[in-house]
Amino acid sequence: MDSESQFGYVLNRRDDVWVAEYSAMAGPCEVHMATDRQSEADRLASLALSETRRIEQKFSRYRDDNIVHQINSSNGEPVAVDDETARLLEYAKQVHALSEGQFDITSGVLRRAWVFRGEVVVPDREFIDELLERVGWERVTWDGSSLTMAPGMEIDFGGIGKEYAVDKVAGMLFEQSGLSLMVNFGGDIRTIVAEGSARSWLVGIEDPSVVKGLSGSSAVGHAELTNGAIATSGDTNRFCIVDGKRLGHILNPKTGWPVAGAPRTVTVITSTCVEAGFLATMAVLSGAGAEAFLQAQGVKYHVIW
Amino acid sequence: MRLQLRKVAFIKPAVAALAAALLGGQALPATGQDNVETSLLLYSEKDRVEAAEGIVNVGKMLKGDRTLNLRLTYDALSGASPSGATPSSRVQTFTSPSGRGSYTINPGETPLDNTFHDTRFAGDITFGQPVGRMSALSLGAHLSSEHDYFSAGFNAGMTRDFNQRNTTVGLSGSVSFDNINPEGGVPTALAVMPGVGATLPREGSSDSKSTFDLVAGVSQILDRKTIVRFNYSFSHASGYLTDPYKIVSVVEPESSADAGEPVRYLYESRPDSRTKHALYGQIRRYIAGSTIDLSYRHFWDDWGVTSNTIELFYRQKLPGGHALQPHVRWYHQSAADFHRVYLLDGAPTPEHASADYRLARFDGLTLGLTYSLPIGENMHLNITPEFYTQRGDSSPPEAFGVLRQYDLFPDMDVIMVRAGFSYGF
Amino acid sequence: MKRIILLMITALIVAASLALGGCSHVGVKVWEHDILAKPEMQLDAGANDRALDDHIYFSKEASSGGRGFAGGGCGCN
Repeated sequence: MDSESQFGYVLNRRDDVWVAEYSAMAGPCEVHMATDRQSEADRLASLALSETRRIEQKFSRYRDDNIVHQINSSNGEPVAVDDETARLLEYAKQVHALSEGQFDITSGVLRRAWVFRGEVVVPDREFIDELLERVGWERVTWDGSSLTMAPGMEIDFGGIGKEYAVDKVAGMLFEQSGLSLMVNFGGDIRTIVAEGSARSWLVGIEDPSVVKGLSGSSAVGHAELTNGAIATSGDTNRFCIVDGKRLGHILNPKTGWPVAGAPRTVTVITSTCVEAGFLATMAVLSGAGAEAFLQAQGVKYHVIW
Repeated sequence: MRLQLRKVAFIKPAVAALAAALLGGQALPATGQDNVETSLLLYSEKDRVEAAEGIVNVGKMLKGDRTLNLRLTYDALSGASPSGATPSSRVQTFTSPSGRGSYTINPGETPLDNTFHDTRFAGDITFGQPVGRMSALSLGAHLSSEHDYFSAGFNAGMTRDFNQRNTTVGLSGSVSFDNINPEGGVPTALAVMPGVGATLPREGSSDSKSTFDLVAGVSQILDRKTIVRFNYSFSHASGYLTDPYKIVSVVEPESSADAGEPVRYLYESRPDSRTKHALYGQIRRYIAGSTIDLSYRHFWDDWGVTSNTIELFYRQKLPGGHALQPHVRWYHQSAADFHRVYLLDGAPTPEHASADYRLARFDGLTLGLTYSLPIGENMHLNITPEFYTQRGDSSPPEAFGVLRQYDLFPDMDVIMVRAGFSYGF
Repeated sequence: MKRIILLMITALIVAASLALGGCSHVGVKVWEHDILAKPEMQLDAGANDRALDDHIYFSKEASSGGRGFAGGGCGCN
């Protein structure tokens, strides 16, 4: 009866916190809760799982029953969206402007021209040019409540969704419990410390692509967080080789090509995961100028070249 | 790359603002684990009882998932309550329960005992303890004290979750020991009420009763928005179950010239045991921000009372954390087997008889409206005006003679206002 | 008394079979308790109000119990 399978998550005691672990958003998810009460941890863990699944199901591009699918199959017709989707679209519009078009939620179709398995590839320039016709937020009509897109265009919340979920889940759990907590979805982390608590969350940055709680010894960097967030952009394992040059998997929506000379990964530490994720992606898109970009922002970061 | 040669812009504040807008309304103040809830009730029956009741409830989380709940209740009531006697065309004089005074009732009026007043103080304590991850145990005790009544008891309960926490089964039991010290002593059952100054027919100064209660229940989640609950409750009381202040009129028989006029009054008599059963079903559903709750209870006991109760709540969410909740309750009960409007002079006296209107057949209707609003961080206020009415048979078929002229079950109308305050920290 | 005990046992068997058997396909996953976790969906929400109600009805009607214990512990009935 008490088997873990029926809960959908595993709950363990680690030091003075309860840790719930489950799989979602294409990776491992951890929620650390500073309480000695298992029933409270159970309650919060199921809420966390519920909220994670909700966001995943609502904004996944792999489903055919959600708003993303509805927009992507709208065939040029306007699609009215709910408040939460509207906030995400508004955010996407604003960061598109702020990044001068480098951060674009319509750029997902470009991935069809690339394979990032560490192999030598010969890009199909014609195909990329064709795909570029279907990319560009400036071709989207967004009035704050409904969205109209040319047929063939697609939106993808992949660059926002996980960070959004981390912040959302952390905020929701804190609202529900008032506890100090840490939410870690495959290295995208948000920490919260309850008012009056002297706790801080020690986070080790281990492998460039994986940030974990300080349990391993291979940490290349440490961060001690109270109320903060960490997000990483880039992936050491996802790249291709063109003309002998290593190209990472983050594509520039204006050229349809990976950014040359970019760091393998950029990890940013700031106040929210959404913000950290965006700054990390912007740093990668800045290529060789990544560190200059990060220094200009005045945030803590860790770059692997 | 062309882009990286540009002057690097300082975009962090703008990004932070956009992230905050996206996550909007986050990092709200924590809702607490401990809470305090207070409620105040003002109760007013038209021309009868007025009452005020206050409850303070404190819930505290203890180490290791234990919970402690303390509830204190205080109520005070005064006013007039029907004594059970029938109206008459003459002035009626009744001896007050203490035997030291009397009160008179005008012709045609329902006899009300206006010496009715009491204060009650009660305390409940409940301790909760999880057993493993799926079960919880609770233990509790209660005390209640009035100037003429004292009750003490214990209870214990267990709940267990099953089926991915979709099903919760609970079983709880309670025992209670009560002591009754009526004003002027315990009247002898069916003895004649004497005149002022005469010796009262008394069985002693106090009596007692004990009650055993059991509730078995199951709640089941049907879908993401719907939960149902079924309970069976059992209660067995034995001992002194009579109301020491209620009387029954003995009236002139139909053959008399004064048919229906009272000859004397007897102290009422109820059986010394009572077994009650109730089946209760409840369904609650969430519909687009609103909540609807429907419940039904079927009750029966070995005194011959059967009742049905239907209750409906609808909670409409309003902007800004406000909510409006209209509520309606309909109730119908049959009379107890020994309920008598009167006893006949010259006829054999039955073993048990009570003219208490609460054991008669009647319908009850409650209409209420709760408005709740947030008044600060983790603080909520709610206020509920409520109307409750009881309608019985004003001219029951057994009425004859002079009794036919009078209202033998005057409508009882009650206006209530409840105010509640809750704080989590 | 025998009849009563029999009835109680029947109620428990019904409850247990609902819990263990028939309902294994009814319900939601643990992570789908988001709506049911709302305060207004808690079956014992508003306990003080219900306690006040029950006290009034206990002292003004011949029935009690169902939602909880039928006992009274007060001299109001």
